[in-house]
Amino acid sequence: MADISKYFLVVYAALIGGFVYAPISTMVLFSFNSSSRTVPPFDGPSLNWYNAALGSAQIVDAFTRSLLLGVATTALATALFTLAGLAYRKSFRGGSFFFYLIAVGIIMPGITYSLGLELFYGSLRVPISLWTALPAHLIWTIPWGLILVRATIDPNMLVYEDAARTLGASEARVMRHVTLPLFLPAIIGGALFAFTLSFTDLVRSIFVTFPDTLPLQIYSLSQLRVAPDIFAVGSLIVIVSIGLLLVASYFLRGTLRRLSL
Amino acid sequence: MPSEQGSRNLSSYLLIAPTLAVVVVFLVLPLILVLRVSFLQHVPLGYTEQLTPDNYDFVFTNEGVRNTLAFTIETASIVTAGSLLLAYPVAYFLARKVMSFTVKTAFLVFLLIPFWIDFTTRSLAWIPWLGTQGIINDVLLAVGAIKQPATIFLYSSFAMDLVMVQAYTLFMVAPLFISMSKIDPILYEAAQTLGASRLRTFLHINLRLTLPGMGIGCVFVFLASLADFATPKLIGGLVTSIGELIRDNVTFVNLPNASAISALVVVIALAVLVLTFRLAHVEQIFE
Repeated sequence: MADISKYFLVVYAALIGGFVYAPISTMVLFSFNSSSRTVPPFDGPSLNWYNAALGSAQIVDAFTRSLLLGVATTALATALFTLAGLAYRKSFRGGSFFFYLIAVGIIMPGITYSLGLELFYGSLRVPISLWTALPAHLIWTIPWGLILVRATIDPNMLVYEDAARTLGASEARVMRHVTLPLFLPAIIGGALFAFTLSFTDLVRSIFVTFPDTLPLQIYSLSQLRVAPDIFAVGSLIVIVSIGLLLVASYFLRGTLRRLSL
Repeated sequence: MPSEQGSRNLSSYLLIAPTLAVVVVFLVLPLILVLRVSFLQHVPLGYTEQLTPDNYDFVFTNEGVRNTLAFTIETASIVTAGSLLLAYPVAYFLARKVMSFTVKTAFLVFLLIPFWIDFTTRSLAWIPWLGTQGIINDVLLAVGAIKQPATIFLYSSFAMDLVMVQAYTLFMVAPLFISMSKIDPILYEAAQTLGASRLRTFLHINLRLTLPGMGIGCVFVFLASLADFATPKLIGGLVTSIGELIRDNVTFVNLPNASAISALVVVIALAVLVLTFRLAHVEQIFE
Protein backbone atom coordinates (compact mmCIF):
# COMPACT_ATOMS: atom_id res chain seq x y z
CA MET A 1 0.00 0.00 0.00
CA ALA A 2 2.71 2.43 1.03
CA ASP A 3 4.70 1.42 -2.03
CA ILE A 4 1.81 1.98 -4.41
CA SER A 5 1.35 5.52 -3.19
CA LYS A 6 5.06 6.11 -3.51
CA TYR A 7 5.09 4.90 -7.14
CA PHE A 8 2.01 6.96 -7.85
CA LEU A 9 3.76 10.04 -6.52
CA VAL A 10 6.94 9.30 -8.47
CA VAL A 11 4.89 9.06 -11.66
CA TYR A 12 3.01 12.21 -10.73
CA ALA A 13 6.20 14.16 -10.06
CA ALA A 14 7.53 12.93 -13.39
CA LEU A 15 4.34 14.12 -15.12
CA ILE A 16 4.73 17.56 -13.56
CA GLY A 17 8.34 17.57 -14.73
CA GLY A 18 7.01 16.66 -18.19
CA PHE A 19 4.42 19.45 -18.07
CA VAL A 20 7.11 22.00 -17.24
CA TYR A 21 9.63 20.60 -19.70
CA ALA A 22 7.37 19.72 -22.67
CA PRO A 23 7.35 23.27 -24.07
CA ILE A 24 11.02 23.70 -23.15
CA SER A 25 12.07 20.64 -25.12
CA THR A 26 10.14 21.61 -28.26
CA MET A 27 11.48 25.13 -27.88
CA VAL A 28 15.02 23.74 -27.98
CA LEU A 29 14.10 21.53 -30.96
CA PHE A 30 12.59 24.34 -33.04
CA SER A 31 15.44 26.69 -32.20
CA PHE A 32 17.52 24.37 -34.43
CA ASN A 33 14.97 24.48 -37.26
CA SER A 34 16.31 25.47 -40.66
CA SER A 35 13.06 27.20 -41.58
CA SER A 36 11.17 29.83 -39.63
CA ARG A 37 8.40 27.40 -38.64
CA THR A 38 7.65 27.06 -34.95
CA VAL A 39 5.17 24.18 -35.39
CA PRO A 40 5.76 20.63 -36.70
CA PRO A 41 7.06 19.29 -39.01
CA PHE A 42 10.69 19.99 -38.17
CA ASP A 43 12.54 21.07 -41.32
CA GLY A 44 15.99 19.81 -40.48
CA PRO A 45 18.74 21.04 -38.22
CA SER A 46 20.65 24.29 -38.59
CA LEU A 47 22.28 26.94 -36.44
CA ASN A 48 20.70 29.80 -38.40
CA TRP A 49 18.63 31.11 -35.51
CA TYR A 50 21.55 30.98 -33.10
CA ASN A 51 23.59 33.03 -35.55
CA ALA A 52 20.68 35.44 -35.88
CA ALA A 53 20.22 35.78 -32.10
CA LEU A 54 23.91 36.07 -31.25
CA GLY A 55 24.48 38.39 -34.19
CA SER A 56 21.77 40.75 -33.01
CA ALA A 57 23.28 43.57 -30.94
CA GLN A 58 19.79 44.29 -29.60
CA ILE A 59 19.50 40.83 -28.04
CA VAL A 60 23.11 40.51 -26.87
CA ASP A 61 23.09 43.96 -25.22
CA ALA A 62 19.77 43.25 -23.54
CA PHE A 63 21.14 39.96 -22.25
CA THR A 64 24.21 41.71 -20.83
CA ARG A 65 22.01 44.27 -19.09
CA SER A 66 19.84 41.55 -17.57
CA LEU A 67 22.89 39.69 -16.33
CA LEU A 68 24.34 42.84 -14.74
CA LEU A 69 21.07 43.72 -13.08
CA GLY A 70 20.57 40.12 -11.95
CA VAL A 71 24.00 39.87 -10.35
CA ALA A 72 23.66 43.27 -8.64
CA THR A 73 20.18 42.36 -7.37
CA THR A 74 21.35 38.98 -6.09
CA ALA A 75 24.33 40.44 -4.22
CA LEU A 76 22.38 43.25 -2.56
CA ALA A 77 19.22 41.27 -1.87
CA THR A 78 21.17 38.38 -0.33
CA ALA A 79 23.04 40.72 2.01
CA LEU A 80 19.82 42.48 3.03
CA PHE A 81 17.57 39.45 3.51
CA THR A 82 20.28 37.58 5.43
CA LEU A 83 20.71 40.46 7.88
CA ALA A 84 16.96 40.93 8.18
CA GLY A 85 16.45 37.18 8.66
CA LEU A 86 19.03 37.06 11.46
CA ALA A 87 16.98 39.67 13.30
CA TYR A 88 14.19 37.09 13.67
CA ARG A 89 16.23 34.65 15.76
CA LYS A 90 14.71 36.49 18.72
CA SER A 91 11.25 37.90 18.81
CA PHE A 92 11.28 41.67 18.96
CA ARG A 93 8.64 44.36 19.18
CA GLY A 94 7.25 45.18 15.74
CA GLY A 95 8.93 42.12 14.20
CA SER A 96 5.70 40.69 12.87
CA PHE A 97 4.57 44.03 11.45
CA PHE A 98 7.95 44.64 9.78
CA PHE A 99 7.80 41.18 8.26
CA TYR A 100 4.42 41.80 6.65
CA LEU A 101 5.56 45.24 5.51
CA ILE A 102 8.52 43.65 3.69
CA ALA A 103 6.26 40.89 2.34
CA VAL A 104 4.06 43.52 0.67
CA GLY A 105 6.80 43.49 -2.00
CA ILE A 106 5.71 40.07 -3.24
CA ILE A 107 2.03 40.58 -2.64
CA MET A 108 1.76 43.85 -4.52
CA PRO A 109 0.51 43.29 -8.06
CA GLY A 110 3.60 43.90 -10.18
CA ILE A 111 2.16 46.34 -12.66
CA THR A 112 0.71 48.51 -9.90
CA TYR A 113 4.06 48.59 -8.20
CA SER A 114 5.89 49.47 -11.39
CA LEU A 115 3.47 52.34 -11.94
CA GLY A 116 4.08 53.57 -8.38
CA LEU A 117 7.82 53.51 -8.84
CA GLU A 118 7.49 55.37 -12.15
CA LEU A 119 5.42 58.07 -10.45
CA PHE A 120 8.01 58.19 -7.65
CA TYR A 121 10.92 58.71 -10.05
CA GLY A 122 8.83 61.18 -12.04
CA SER A 123 8.12 63.32 -8.99
CA LEU A 124 11.83 63.36 -8.12
CA ARG A 125 12.78 63.98 -11.77
CA VAL A 126 15.05 60.92 -11.77
CA PRO A 127 15.65 59.81 -15.37
CA ILE A 128 14.73 56.17 -16.06
CA SER A 129 17.80 53.97 -16.57
CA LEU A 130 18.83 50.36 -16.07
CA TRP A 131 19.56 51.09 -12.41
CA THR A 132 16.16 52.58 -11.67
CA ALA A 133 14.96 48.98 -12.05
CA LEU A 134 17.27 47.80 -9.26
CA PRO A 135 15.00 48.89 -6.35
CA ALA A 136 12.04 47.20 -8.05
CA HIS A 137 14.04 43.98 -8.22
CA LEU A 138 15.17 44.28 -4.59
CA ILE A 139 11.63 44.86 -3.32
CA TRP A 140 10.56 41.80 -5.32
CA THR A 141 13.37 39.42 -4.28
CA ILE A 142 14.18 40.30 -0.64
CA PRO A 143 10.91 38.94 0.82
CA TRP A 144 11.44 35.49 -0.75
CA GLY A 145 14.88 35.17 0.84
CA LEU A 146 13.57 36.52 4.13
CA ILE A 147 10.76 33.93 4.15
CA LEU A 148 13.26 31.14 3.52
CA VAL A 149 15.66 32.33 6.22
CA ARG A 150 12.90 32.95 8.74
CA ALA A 151 11.39 29.51 8.06
CA THR A 152 14.78 27.94 8.90
CA ILE A 153 14.86 29.42 12.39
CA ASP A 154 14.10 27.06 15.22
CA PRO A 155 14.59 27.52 18.96
CA ASN A 156 17.60 25.18 19.02
CA MET A 157 19.64 27.69 17.07
CA LEU A 158 20.03 29.98 20.04
CA VAL A 159 20.98 26.98 22.17
CA TYR A 160 23.80 26.13 19.77
CA GLU A 161 24.96 29.74 19.81
CA ASP A 162 24.91 29.84 23.61
CA ALA A 163 26.84 26.56 23.76
CA ALA A 164 29.54 28.02 21.53
CA ARG A 165 29.67 31.17 23.66
CA THR A 166 29.96 29.14 26.86
CA LEU A 167 32.87 27.31 25.29
CA GLY A 168 34.57 30.68 24.87
CA ALA A 169 33.89 31.49 21.23
CA SER A 170 33.88 35.18 20.32
CA GLU A 171 30.74 36.68 18.76
CA ALA A 172 32.46 36.73 15.38
CA ARG A 173 33.34 33.04 15.63
CA VAL A 174 29.82 32.15 16.76
CA MET A 175 28.46 33.97 13.72
CA ARG A 176 30.93 32.38 11.32
CA HIS A 177 30.97 28.81 12.65
CA VAL A 178 27.50 28.35 14.16
CA THR A 179 24.91 30.82 12.96
CA LEU A 180 25.75 31.24 9.28
CA PRO A 181 26.24 27.50 8.54
CA LEU A 182 22.77 26.84 9.98
CA PHE A 183 21.30 29.44 7.61
CA LEU A 184 23.44 28.56 4.61
CA PRO A 185 20.88 26.41 2.74
CA ALA A 186 18.24 29.14 3.08
CA ILE A 187 20.72 31.85 2.05
CA ILE A 188 21.83 29.91 -1.03
CA GLY A 189 18.22 29.13 -1.89
CA GLY A 190 17.25 32.77 -1.48
CA ALA A 191 20.16 33.94 -3.63
CA LEU A 192 19.28 31.47 -6.41
CA PHE A 193 15.67 32.58 -6.25
CA ALA A 194 16.69 36.24 -6.30
CA PHE A 195 18.73 35.78 -9.46
CA THR A 196 15.96 33.79 -11.13
CA LEU A 197 13.30 36.37 -10.32
CA SER A 198 15.44 39.33 -11.31
CA PHE A 199 16.79 37.86 -14.53
CA THR A 200 13.30 37.08 -15.82
CA ASP A 201 11.29 39.95 -14.43
CA LEU A 202 9.01 41.65 -16.92
CA VAL A 203 5.99 43.02 -15.08
CA ARG A 204 7.74 45.00 -12.33
CA SER A 205 10.38 46.42 -14.66
CA ILE A 206 8.05 47.56 -17.39
CA PHE A 207 7.73 51.29 -16.54
CA VAL A 208 11.10 51.80 -14.81
CA THR A 209 13.73 50.31 -17.13
CA PHE A 210 15.61 51.89 -20.02
CA PRO A 211 17.08 50.53 -22.21
CA ASP A 212 15.30 47.18 -22.25
CA THR A 213 16.45 44.14 -20.31
CA LEU A 214 16.21 40.77 -22.06
CA PRO A 215 12.63 39.98 -20.95
CA LEU A 216 11.44 43.43 -22.02
CA GLN A 217 13.32 43.19 -25.31
CA ILE A 218 11.88 39.78 -26.14
CA TYR A 219 8.41 40.92 -25.13
CA SER A 220 8.53 43.82 -27.56
CA LEU A 221 10.08 41.67 -30.31
CA SER A 222 7.30 39.11 -29.90
CA GLN A 223 4.68 41.78 -30.51
CA LEU A 224 5.98 41.99 -34.07
CA ARG A 225 6.71 38.37 -34.90
CA VAL A 226 7.36 34.92 -33.44
CA ALA A 227 10.50 33.45 -34.99
CA PRO A 228 12.83 30.73 -33.76
CA ASP A 229 15.54 33.24 -32.83
CA ILE A 230 13.53 33.93 -29.67
CA PHE A 231 13.56 30.18 -29.06
CA ALA A 232 17.33 30.16 -29.62
CA VAL A 233 17.80 32.72 -26.82
CA GLY A 234 15.62 30.65 -24.49
CA SER A 235 17.49 27.46 -25.40
CA LEU A 236 20.86 29.08 -24.79
CA ILE A 237 19.69 30.12 -21.32
CA VAL A 238 18.56 26.57 -20.53
CA ILE A 239 21.70 24.93 -21.90
CA VAL A 240 24.08 27.38 -20.21
CA SER A 241 22.28 27.23 -16.87
CA ILE A 242 22.19 23.43 -16.80
CA GLY A 243 25.91 23.49 -17.60
CA LEU A 244 26.62 26.02 -14.84
CA LEU A 245 24.58 23.99 -12.36
CA LEU A 246 26.49 20.82 -13.15
CA VAL A 247 29.79 22.63 -12.66
CA ALA A 248 28.56 24.23 -9.43
CA SER A 249 27.26 20.96 -8.01
CA TYR A 250 30.61 19.34 -8.82
CA PHE A 251 32.43 21.97 -6.77
CA LEU A 252 29.80 22.07 -4.02
CA ARG A 253 29.44 18.29 -3.71
CA GLY A 254 31.31 18.31 -0.37
CA THR A 255 28.95 20.93 1.08
CA LEU A 256 25.90 19.13 -0.31
CA ARG A 257 26.95 15.88 1.32
CA ARG A 258 27.48 17.59 4.66
CA LEU A 259 24.07 19.24 4.44
CA SER A 260 22.29 15.96 3.81
CA LEU A 261 23.59 14.52 7.10
CA MET B 1 19.37 40.06 32.58
CA PRO B 2 17.25 42.87 31.16
CA SER B 3 20.26 44.70 29.69
CA GLU B 4 21.24 41.63 27.69
CA GLN B 5 17.67 41.33 26.43
CA GLY B 6 17.78 45.01 25.52
CA SER B 7 21.01 44.75 23.59
CA ARG B 8 19.77 41.71 21.66
CA ASN B 9 16.62 43.55 20.77
CA LEU B 10 18.68 46.48 19.63
CA SER B 11 20.72 44.17 17.42
CA SER B 12 17.48 42.89 15.83
CA TYR B 13 16.55 46.44 14.90
CA LEU B 14 20.02 47.13 13.52
CA LEU B 15 19.88 43.97 11.42
CA ILE B 16 16.51 44.74 9.89
CA ALA B 17 17.04 48.51 9.50
CA PRO B 18 18.71 48.47 6.03
CA THR B 19 15.93 46.36 4.55
CA LEU B 20 13.24 48.51 6.16
CA ALA B 21 14.88 51.64 4.75
CA VAL B 22 14.76 50.18 1.23
CA VAL B 23 11.13 49.10 1.72
CA VAL B 24 9.94 52.46 3.05
CA VAL B 25 11.61 54.51 0.30
CA PHE B 26 11.01 52.25 -2.69
CA LEU B 27 7.76 50.50 -1.78
CA VAL B 28 5.73 52.50 0.72
CA LEU B 29 6.31 55.92 -0.86
CA PRO B 30 5.53 54.75 -4.43
CA LEU B 31 2.29 53.16 -3.24
CA ILE B 32 1.28 56.34 -1.45
CA LEU B 33 1.96 58.18 -4.72
CA VAL B 34 -0.37 55.81 -6.62
CA LEU B 35 -3.10 56.60 -4.13
CA ARG B 36 -2.49 60.34 -4.38
CA VAL B 37 -2.40 60.45 -8.19
CA SER B 38 -5.59 58.38 -8.34
CA PHE B 39 -7.39 61.42 -6.86
CA LEU B 40 -5.82 64.00 -9.18
CA GLN B 41 -7.29 65.58 -12.29
CA HIS B 42 -6.17 64.14 -15.62
CA VAL B 43 -5.00 66.57 -18.29
CA PRO B 44 -3.47 65.61 -21.66
CA LEU B 45 0.02 64.16 -21.07
CA GLY B 46 -0.13 64.47 -17.30
CA TYR B 47 -2.16 65.55 -14.31
CA THR B 48 -2.79 68.66 -12.26
CA GLU B 49 -2.78 69.05 -8.49
CA GLN B 50 -6.58 69.50 -8.61
CA LEU B 51 -8.32 66.88 -6.43
CA THR B 52 -11.18 65.02 -8.10
CA PRO B 53 -13.26 61.85 -7.67
CA ASP B 54 -13.60 61.51 -11.48
CA ASN B 55 -11.11 58.68 -11.86
CA TYR B 56 -12.97 56.49 -9.40
CA ASP B 57 -16.21 57.50 -10.99
CA PHE B 58 -14.82 56.13 -14.25
CA VAL B 59 -13.52 52.93 -12.64
CA PHE B 60 -16.79 52.09 -10.92
CA THR B 61 -19.21 53.04 -13.69
CA ASN B 62 -17.35 51.94 -16.81
CA GLU B 63 -18.71 48.62 -18.01
CA GLY B 64 -15.46 47.69 -19.76
CA VAL B 65 -13.52 48.02 -16.53
CA ARG B 66 -16.11 45.98 -14.64
CA ASN B 67 -16.16 43.15 -17.18
CA THR B 68 -12.39 43.08 -17.42
CA LEU B 69 -12.09 42.95 -13.66
CA ALA B 70 -14.60 40.10 -13.41
CA PHE B 71 -12.84 38.16 -16.16
CA THR B 72 -9.43 38.70 -14.54
CA ILE B 73 -10.68 37.54 -11.13
CA GLU B 74 -12.23 34.46 -12.75
CA THR B 75 -8.94 33.67 -14.50
CA ALA B 76 -6.96 34.17 -11.30
CA SER B 77 -9.30 31.78 -9.43
CA ILE B 78 -8.98 29.07 -12.10
CA VAL B 79 -5.20 29.41 -12.18
CA THR B 80 -4.95 29.32 -8.36
CA ALA B 81 -7.07 26.16 -8.10
CA GLY B 82 -5.11 24.53 -10.94
CA SER B 83 -1.72 25.30 -9.40
CA LEU B 84 -2.79 24.07 -5.98
CA LEU B 85 -4.00 20.75 -7.38
CA LEU B 86 -0.82 20.31 -9.41
CA ALA B 87 1.60 21.43 -6.74
CA TYR B 88 0.25 19.69 -3.64
CA PRO B 89 1.20 16.12 -4.57
CA VAL B 90 4.60 17.31 -5.77
CA ALA B 91 5.33 19.06 -2.48
CA TYR B 92 4.00 16.04 -0.56
CA PHE B 93 6.23 13.73 -2.57
CA LEU B 94 9.30 15.90 -2.07
CA ALA B 95 8.80 16.54 1.62
CA ARG B 96 7.55 13.13 2.73
CA LYS B 97 8.81 10.49 0.32
CA VAL B 98 12.20 11.74 -0.82
CA MET B 99 14.70 11.29 2.00
CA SER B 100 17.94 12.35 0.35
CA PHE B 101 18.68 16.04 0.60
CA THR B 102 20.59 15.92 -2.67
CA VAL B 103 17.63 14.44 -4.58
CA LYS B 104 15.29 17.03 -3.04
CA THR B 105 17.59 19.86 -4.03
CA ALA B 106 18.12 18.41 -7.48
CA PHE B 107 14.37 18.14 -8.12
CA LEU B 108 13.71 21.69 -6.91
CA VAL B 109 16.52 23.03 -9.08
CA PHE B 110 15.19 20.99 -12.00
CA LEU B 111 11.83 22.71 -11.52
CA LEU B 112 13.57 26.07 -11.23
CA ILE B 113 15.56 26.00 -14.49
CA PRO B 114 12.63 26.78 -16.83
CA PHE B 115 12.10 29.93 -14.79
CA TRP B 116 15.41 31.33 -15.96
CA ILE B 117 13.93 31.63 -19.42
CA ASP B 118 12.15 34.89 -19.77
CA PHE B 119 8.42 35.00 -19.41
CA THR B 120 7.58 35.74 -23.04
CA THR B 121 9.66 32.93 -24.47
CA ARG B 122 8.22 30.53 -21.92
CA SER B 123 4.69 31.44 -23.04
CA LEU B 124 5.54 31.26 -26.73
CA ALA B 125 7.26 27.90 -26.24
CA TRP B 126 3.74 26.45 -26.08
CA ILE B 127 3.04 27.34 -29.71
CA PRO B 128 4.53 24.08 -31.12
CA TRP B 129 2.08 22.21 -28.87
CA LEU B 130 -1.03 24.34 -29.02
CA GLY B 131 -1.00 25.80 -32.55
CA THR B 132 -3.53 24.71 -35.17
CA GLN B 133 -0.67 22.75 -36.75
CA GLY B 134 0.76 21.91 -33.33
CA ILE B 135 1.47 18.61 -31.66
CA ILE B 136 -1.81 18.34 -29.73
CA ASN B 137 -3.84 18.89 -32.88
CA ASP B 138 -1.65 16.45 -34.81
CA VAL B 139 -2.19 13.76 -32.21
CA LEU B 140 -5.93 14.37 -31.97
CA LEU B 141 -6.23 14.26 -35.78
CA ALA B 142 -4.15 11.10 -35.97
CA VAL B 143 -6.31 9.22 -33.47
CA GLY B 144 -9.43 10.57 -35.13
CA ALA B 145 -10.73 12.46 -32.11
CA ILE B 146 -11.29 15.54 -34.24
CA LYS B 147 -11.89 15.99 -37.97
CA GLN B 148 -10.19 19.34 -38.45
CA PRO B 149 -7.59 21.22 -36.43
CA ALA B 150 -9.07 22.82 -33.33
CA THR B 151 -8.30 26.49 -32.83
CA ILE B 152 -9.28 26.68 -29.17
CA PHE B 153 -5.89 25.57 -27.88
CA LEU B 154 -3.92 28.67 -28.81
CA TYR B 155 -4.80 32.35 -28.43
CA SER B 156 -7.66 31.44 -26.12
CA SER B 157 -8.43 31.65 -22.41
CA PHE B 158 -7.53 27.97 -22.23
CA ALA B 159 -4.00 28.71 -23.43
CA MET B 160 -3.78 31.64 -21.04
CA ASP B 161 -4.84 29.54 -18.02
CA LEU B 162 -2.45 26.75 -18.98
CA VAL B 163 0.55 29.03 -19.39
CA MET B 164 -0.18 30.84 -16.13
CA VAL B 165 -0.51 27.57 -14.23
CA GLN B 166 2.84 26.48 -15.59
CA ALA B 167 4.41 29.83 -14.82
CA TYR B 168 3.20 30.05 -11.22
CA THR B 169 3.18 26.43 -10.01
CA LEU B 170 6.69 26.80 -8.61
CA PHE B 171 5.50 29.57 -6.30
CA MET B 172 2.91 27.16 -4.98
CA VAL B 173 5.35 24.26 -4.55
CA ALA B 174 7.85 26.29 -2.52
CA PRO B 175 5.64 27.35 0.45
CA LEU B 176 3.85 23.99 0.46
CA PHE B 177 7.18 22.23 0.60
CA ILE B 178 8.37 24.42 3.48
CA SER B 179 5.25 23.91 5.56
CA MET B 180 5.17 20.18 4.83
CA SER B 181 8.83 19.76 5.79
CA LYS B 182 8.05 21.30 9.16
CA ILE B 183 5.52 18.62 10.13
CA ASP B 184 7.02 16.41 12.82
CA PRO B 185 6.92 12.80 11.48
CA ILE B 186 6.02 11.58 14.96
CA LEU B 187 2.53 13.01 14.43
CA TYR B 188 1.92 10.50 11.63
CA GLU B 189 3.02 7.64 13.83
CA ALA B 190 0.87 8.89 16.67
CA ALA B 191 -2.17 9.12 14.41
CA GLN B 192 -1.59 5.63 13.06
CA THR B 193 -1.06 4.19 16.55
CA LEU B 194 -4.33 5.73 17.62
CA GLY B 195 -6.02 3.92 14.74
CA ALA B 196 -6.64 6.77 12.32
CA SER B 197 -7.17 5.72 8.72
CA ARG B 198 -4.74 6.99 6.09
CA LEU B 199 -7.38 9.40 4.85
CA ARG B 200 -8.01 10.78 8.33
CA THR B 201 -4.28 11.11 8.93
CA PHE B 202 -3.94 13.00 5.68
CA LEU B 203 -6.91 15.29 6.36
CA HIS B 204 -6.20 16.05 10.00
CA ILE B 205 -2.44 16.23 9.96
CA ASN B 206 -1.18 16.92 6.49
CA LEU B 207 -3.94 19.11 5.15
CA ARG B 208 -4.48 20.94 8.42
CA LEU B 209 -0.83 21.64 9.08
CA THR B 210 -0.07 22.73 5.53
CA LEU B 211 -2.89 25.30 5.55
CA PRO B 212 -0.38 28.15 6.09
CA GLY B 213 1.68 26.98 3.11
CA MET B 214 -1.47 26.68 0.99
CA GLY B 215 -2.48 30.16 2.11
CA ILE B 216 0.79 31.74 1.05
CA GLY B 217 0.92 29.81 -2.23
CA CYS B 218 -2.68 30.63 -3.15
CA VAL B 219 -2.35 34.30 -2.31
CA PHE B 220 0.79 34.53 -4.36
CA VAL B 221 -0.56 32.74 -7.42
CA PHE B 222 -3.88 34.60 -7.26
CA LEU B 223 -2.22 38.00 -7.09
CA ALA B 224 0.39 37.19 -9.72
CA SER B 225 -2.32 36.15 -12.19
CA LEU B 226 -4.40 39.17 -11.22
CA ALA B 227 -1.62 41.52 -12.30
CA ASP B 228 -0.35 39.55 -15.29
CA PHE B 229 -0.69 41.68 -18.42
CA ALA B 230 1.74 39.75 -20.61
CA THR B 231 0.27 36.23 -20.78
CA PRO B 232 -3.22 37.38 -21.81
CA LYS B 233 -1.69 39.63 -24.45
CA LEU B 234 0.75 37.03 -25.78
CA ILE B 235 -1.35 33.92 -25.84
CA GLY B 236 -4.84 34.73 -24.61
CA GLY B 237 -6.14 35.93 -27.98
CA LEU B 238 -8.82 38.59 -27.80
CA VAL B 239 -9.09 38.80 -24.04
CA THR B 240 -8.31 41.92 -22.04
CA SER B 241 -6.85 41.72 -18.56
CA ILE B 242 -6.89 44.31 -15.82
CA GLY B 243 -3.08 44.52 -16.09
CA GLU B 244 -3.38 45.39 -19.77
CA LEU B 245 -5.96 48.03 -18.94
CA ILE B 246 -3.51 49.66 -16.52
CA ARG B 247 -0.73 49.43 -19.07
CA ASP B 248 -2.90 50.98 -21.82
CA ASN B 249 -3.75 53.87 -19.51
CA VAL B 250 -0.06 54.43 -18.82
CA THR B 251 0.76 54.20 -22.53
CA PHE B 252 -1.84 56.85 -23.30
CA VAL B 253 -0.47 58.89 -20.37
CA ASN B 254 -3.65 58.79 -18.36
CA LEU B 255 -1.81 58.27 -15.08
CA PRO B 256 -4.76 59.19 -12.82
CA ASN B 257 -6.95 56.51 -14.42
CA ALA B 258 -4.11 53.99 -14.31
CA SER B 259 -3.63 54.85 -10.64
CA ALA B 260 -7.32 54.51 -9.79
CA ILE B 261 -7.52 51.05 -11.42
CA SER B 262 -4.27 50.16 -9.64
CA ALA B 263 -5.64 51.31 -6.30
CA LEU B 264 -8.67 49.11 -6.84
CA VAL B 265 -6.42 46.14 -7.62
CA VAL B 266 -4.39 46.86 -4.47
CA VAL B 267 -7.56 46.92 -2.37
CA ILE B 268 -8.62 43.56 -3.84
CA ALA B 269 -5.11 42.21 -3.24
CA LEU B 270 -5.11 43.33 0.39
CA ALA B 271 -8.58 41.91 0.98
CA VAL B 272 -7.56 38.54 -0.46
CA LEU B 273 -4.36 38.63 1.57
CA VAL B 274 -5.92 39.46 4.94
CA LEU B 275 -8.79 37.03 4.45
CA THR B 276 -6.56 34.14 3.40
CA PHE B 277 -3.98 34.76 6.09
CA ARG B 278 -6.70 34.81 8.75
CA LEU B 279 -8.37 31.66 7.44
CA ALA B 280 -5.13 29.76 6.90
CA HIS B 281 -3.32 30.86 10.09
CA VAL B 282 -0.29 31.79 8.02
CA GLU B 283 1.76 32.95 11.04
CA GLN B 284 2.12 29.30 12.04
CA ILE B 285 4.60 28.63 9.26
CA PHE B 286 7.21 30.56 11.24
CA GLU B 287 6.59 28.89 14.58
